[in-house]
Amino acid sequence: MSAVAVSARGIVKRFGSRTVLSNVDFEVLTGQVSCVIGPSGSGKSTLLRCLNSLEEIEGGEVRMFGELQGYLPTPDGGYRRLSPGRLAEQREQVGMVFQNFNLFPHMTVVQNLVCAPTLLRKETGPAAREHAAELLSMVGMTGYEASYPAHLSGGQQQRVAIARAMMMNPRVLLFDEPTSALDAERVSEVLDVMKKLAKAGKTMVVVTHELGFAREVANDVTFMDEGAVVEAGSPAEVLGSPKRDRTRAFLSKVL
Amino acid sequence: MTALRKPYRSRWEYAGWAAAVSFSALLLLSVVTNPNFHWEIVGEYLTAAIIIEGVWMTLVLTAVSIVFGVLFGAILAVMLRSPSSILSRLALSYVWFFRGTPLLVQLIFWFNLAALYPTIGFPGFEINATHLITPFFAAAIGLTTNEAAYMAEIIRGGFESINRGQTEAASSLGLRPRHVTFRILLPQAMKVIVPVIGNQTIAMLKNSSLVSVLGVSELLHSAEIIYGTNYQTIPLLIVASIWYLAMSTVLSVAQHAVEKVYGRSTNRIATVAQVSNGA
Repeated sequence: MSAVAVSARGIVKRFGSRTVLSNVDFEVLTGQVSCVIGPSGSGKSTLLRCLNSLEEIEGGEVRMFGELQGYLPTPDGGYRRLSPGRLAEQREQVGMVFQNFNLFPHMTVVQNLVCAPTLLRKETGPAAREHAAELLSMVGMTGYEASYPAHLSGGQQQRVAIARAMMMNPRVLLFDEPTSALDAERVSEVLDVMKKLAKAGKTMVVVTHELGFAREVANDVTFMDEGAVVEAGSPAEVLGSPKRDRTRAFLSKVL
Repeated sequence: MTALRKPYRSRWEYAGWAAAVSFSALLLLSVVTNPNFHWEIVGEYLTAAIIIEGVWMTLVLTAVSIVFGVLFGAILAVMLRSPSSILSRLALSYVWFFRGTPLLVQLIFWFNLAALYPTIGFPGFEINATHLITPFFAAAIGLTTNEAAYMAEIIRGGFESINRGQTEAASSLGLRPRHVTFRILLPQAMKVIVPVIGNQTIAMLKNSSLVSVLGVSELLHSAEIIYGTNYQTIPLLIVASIWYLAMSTVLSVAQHAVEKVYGRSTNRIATVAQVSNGA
């Protein structure tokens, strides 16, 4: 049994008076791919954002390789939010890919990639550019180094965004609906890159509507609804023979 | 063989052009031939030494108040965006006060500061305010502090125009807050901020004429001095206007050039071919 990479215990997240995550448990083992599925508003993206401390949480704790994320325990048993600098340090080991790509529009493709490792002094300029060239070749974007994001299609932008997230050599990759903003034709080019990463043994958490991808690639599938985990298990269990009516109802609508 | 294609033109457009051209020509003719404008006096004083000195003073005041206004405004903008409520409320109060009172009143206030505080400083280190606050100093301080309030809002607006996803993407890479602000957000905010700063500079060029009431010898005051002795008010105001118009024209051209530079990354023309080849 491999080590636990990501663990979330009893996560509670509220926006004002609305509870979007109520006591959510979630776990990913090192080197495994975990897909989170569910209807819009089920809290699956919020869960992912909590893993990367992009959201403050009202209850529970997130750990990456045992290290508490986003908070410091206080002597009275509570938690204190980490400083922005400490949060940034923790995020170095987690890569994130967004639904809307979020490439930096004022930078070329290669500048988008080398920006973090050079600013954070992880790599020298030439080493970073070499690293960028390797990753761009992995995502099939060699030759676009000098292009600006606005000149690329959605699928190309997302592949660059994946390469950018890989530049810091993160121990975990988080994907927030990476193909939801893409034309149907462009979806597969992004999924192919993600399959490659999964085969290479990357620890990945993927929030997605692509059930085919989940079935083919995921080690675990978690089905969420109304801010809670309804069912979790292997793709065969959750997608093949769901135990809960809610899961069956959801699957019958999306398949 | 493709036939020549012309865009649609309303026939009213031709009529409009004809009307506009003939009206402008008549207006110009009447202005040029009217002896009451005293164009010979305009010509005589257009490059007079005192006028040229006034032009320089106007340029200096504009440059000083815009440069320091941007710097001070940037500090205020950082304070406005700060999570610390002390800082943001301080900056908010500043903006509230300096945007909410007339510039002319503020200038006169600075000019008369010595009446309120004859000495400035603290026991052991005191400066005589009447010596410190010369008309030029009052003018520069007054224009700068007022401009900073507007710049603060302009810069804050520039930052707020950027999609929140940019901050999130930068943070998720582990970039520190200072990197996110200066490497990711600021260059994008500049695209919104720079054209507005250009606008403010052109406005300041003319607003600086308000300091003529303090007796600072900028362009308008220089013209006033001359027509105060020869009573040729209109010709000298035309002289000043020609200079204001010339300076703002140069600034407008510069502004457009700068905007082009900042429009680079979203200019879609360059690599359309590359997109259709790839993917």
